[in-house]
Amino acid sequence: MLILGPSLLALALSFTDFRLGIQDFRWVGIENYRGLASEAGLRQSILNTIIFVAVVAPISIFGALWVAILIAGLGRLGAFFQTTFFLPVTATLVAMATAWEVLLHPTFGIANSLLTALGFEPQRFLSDPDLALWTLALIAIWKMLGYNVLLFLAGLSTIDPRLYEAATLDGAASGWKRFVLVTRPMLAPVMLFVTVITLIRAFSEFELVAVLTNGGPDGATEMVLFTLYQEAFRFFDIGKAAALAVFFLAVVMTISVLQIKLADKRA
Amino acid sequence: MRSLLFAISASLAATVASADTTITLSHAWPHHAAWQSQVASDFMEKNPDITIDIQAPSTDYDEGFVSVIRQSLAGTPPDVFLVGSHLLGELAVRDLAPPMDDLLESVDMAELGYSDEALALTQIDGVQIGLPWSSSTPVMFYNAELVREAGGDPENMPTTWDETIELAQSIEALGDDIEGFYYPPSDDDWLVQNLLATAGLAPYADCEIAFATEEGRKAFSLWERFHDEAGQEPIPNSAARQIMYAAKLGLYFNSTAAVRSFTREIGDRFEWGTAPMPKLTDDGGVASGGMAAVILTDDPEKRAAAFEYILYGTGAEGQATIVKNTGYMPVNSGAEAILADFYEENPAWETSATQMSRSLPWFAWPGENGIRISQEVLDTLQAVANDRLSSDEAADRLVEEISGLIE
Amino acid sequence: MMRAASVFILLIVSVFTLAPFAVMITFSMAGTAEIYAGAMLPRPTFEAAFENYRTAVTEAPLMRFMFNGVVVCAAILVLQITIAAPAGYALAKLPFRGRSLMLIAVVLALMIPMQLPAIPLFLAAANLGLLNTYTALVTPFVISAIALFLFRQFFLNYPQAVLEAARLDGFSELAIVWRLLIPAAWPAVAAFSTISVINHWNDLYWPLVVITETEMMTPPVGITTFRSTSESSGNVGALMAGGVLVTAPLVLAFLFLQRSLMQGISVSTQDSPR
Repeated sequence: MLILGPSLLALALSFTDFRLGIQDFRWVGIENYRGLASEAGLRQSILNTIIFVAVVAPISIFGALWVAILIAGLGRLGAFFQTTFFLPVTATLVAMATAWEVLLHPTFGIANSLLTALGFEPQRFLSDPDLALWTLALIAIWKMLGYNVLLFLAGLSTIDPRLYEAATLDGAASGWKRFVLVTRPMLAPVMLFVTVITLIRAFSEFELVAVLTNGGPDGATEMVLFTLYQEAFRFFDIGKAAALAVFFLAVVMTISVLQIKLADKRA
Repeated sequence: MRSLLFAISASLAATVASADTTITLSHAWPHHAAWQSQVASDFMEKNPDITIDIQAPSTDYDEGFVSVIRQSLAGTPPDVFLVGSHLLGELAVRDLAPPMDDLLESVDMAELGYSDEALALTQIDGVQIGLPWSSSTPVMFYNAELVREAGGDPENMPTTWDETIELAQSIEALGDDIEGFYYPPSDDDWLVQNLLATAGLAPYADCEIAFATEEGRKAFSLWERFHDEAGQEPIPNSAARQIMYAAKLGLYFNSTAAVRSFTREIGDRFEWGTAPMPKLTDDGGVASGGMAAVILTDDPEKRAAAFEYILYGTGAEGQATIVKNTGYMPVNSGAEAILADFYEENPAWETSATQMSRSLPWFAWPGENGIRISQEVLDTLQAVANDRLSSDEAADRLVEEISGLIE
Repeated sequence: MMRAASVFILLIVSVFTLAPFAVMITFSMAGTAEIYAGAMLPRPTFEAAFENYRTAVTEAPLMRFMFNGVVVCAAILVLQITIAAPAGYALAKLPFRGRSLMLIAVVLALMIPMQLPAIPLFLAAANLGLLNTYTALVTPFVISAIALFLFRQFFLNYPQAVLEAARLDGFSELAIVWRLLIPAAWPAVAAFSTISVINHWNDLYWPLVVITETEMMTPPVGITTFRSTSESSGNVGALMAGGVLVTAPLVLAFLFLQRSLMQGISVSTQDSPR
């Protein structure tokens, strides 16, 4: 019974968050519910978000799993790599943004010096509309990978080595077979958590856009949360913001229900 | 009647009750923090009974505006707000800037060095709602060494866009790693206003959007010509600025307020200077902009104290401090005497002041969508720069978007 | 052979990972002239380093920002765990009506970013006179859905038999949480603490909304003081120095605490799977 209190409180508050958000929209919505004038901008923002999530989430989940398995096989040397990959996770993005800008500078950035040395054309990483979103995706992966690696390593460490021995005895000779037989099922809970957290972070990316591109060039890096923020708090156009919020919540709700269903089925 | 009461209570407050008044002030641009607090501490030294409490600076004019709106919603707006000139009207539309009539009755502004033109900058429909705190026009920054190498004369910079673009081509031809020209898209639409201004136009006049007129489209097409003819790369302003500091960019355009940064970053590594904005047509001018000091509080005692401070900051002494620390132009004729020697020694600072005679007044879009219109303009500029739209298509898009956004 | 290939691949990824840090540190020690001389990586000098770091510390009270950051992160973390651990236990092990509904609510809340409820929360904070206080910086985050979710996942696998035995021994439900489950869930606690501290140390958005006094700024907000769009982009060296100073505490803390953190989290070399 004592336990119920805090969890109810948690529940109440998690709903408060939710309702407060809605209340917010109603509050300004009354006086200012404008027509959704130019839908093209919103569509682009949603499309960008989908592309971004579709690139960032799989790479930072499966890439991290792969890196974690490589590291786990390395012993002491693995600790070095693990630390290396974790550094970006701890980095303050506002501070690192300047470093990224210098690295990716259109004329004297190191990235372009490398490209030129290899015989490629220099690129405008952050200001070319065809490239900017991919650049942000790359930086997002840089930022997320390390944490997922850490979680997978934690998961791998809980697997009893005897399970692998048993699998080998059962004829699982190749590394891949042992992975399918032992690693994959044993990592399922960690995998679930990593997937949830990566999806959330990719889907609600805000800082990268705000700090590095401001949504530009010409809306090429607008993403849902940034657009929502712009519409509500910069343009005070609550109509559009509300439309985006509804979309955002619908997606979020779908993902959460799916996650829970999956989690309970596995558990 | 009401304003009279205000005036009486205000002067009462000023003379009797002004024991210890604290005025909160909000301004934008973190790199202005040092001189803003310099002005404040100079003032407090002379007025120990008034404390100026400066909030942490907002990152730009638009963020500052948003932050003040938020604070007003919560009922705790700053007492004084230094608002970007393009947002002054939006502040008024939202009823956040009470008229200053109560405070102005007791002073003779002309005698204090404020010209009618200066005062008009911060009037909305003839009502004074603020005082101009700083004012600027854009100028052409040039790398004198590159200009000379390309056959130009730094003492005699081109005065028309055609000649300027030609010079840019010669500079660009000096080497693979040399850029000829960069005209920034800016953080709002002020520099686009300035393209129009070089043809003597304002973005919106007599119910007509300049992008819809033939002259306006011609002026707007300069942006496309910069990229197609002058060799401008579609890169961010900060990146271009770094190329300029690296002595690899010939011509660069921006507010005279950047002069201070140029001085600091370039030092004596190479010779540089400023020249007046080129013209497109003979009657071409420059668009001015800056920030206005607006008193938001309605507490009479605070209003009186805030007014004291604004008079100091926009007065001769305050302006001299501001000009020397930024490159802004003085808004008060009293400052000119103080600054004469300074200008003599630092000619790069003076260019903006010399084009005052052809400067257009501050411009703001009517209605309350100024920030969004700025964003539309910036987006469109990027589309043109990246060859997504031709200049004419871009002008069409702007006319369509903007006419839906102004009332 | 396999080992060499792994090391090679990891090295390549490491170079990409470390490049921005290398750039930041090198530039933070280089003078303006050197930076703009056009070399790919400028040559660091002692004088330039001193000048850049001096500018970084004097132009804004960076130390004060970091102190604020530490206070805020610590308060948030302690409160989050205090609340989430029992709640996670209830969600995992105590059957009650509407449990799965509640779970969905938790995950949903977990996915709602701060930007959505920010304005009403801001108004609430303003009405309570809490702007520019630690309370305003901490309170919205004390209930962490991530922590709840994580704890629940870990508690799920805890053997029911042990719980029954503890109850028979007279353990209260709370005692079960703090004396049995939390020690067993050390990896979860460690993993969560890491992400919580990182997130809140680096959070830019909420502090920007509720803090208008320089005194109360947290490190990322403080660093924007240097990084105002175009004007100060010139002084790259000082910008980078500020970046190094703000980034260093977390990196150092991580390096320092890594071993104890890893005891729970990481693979120990002896029993690593082959």
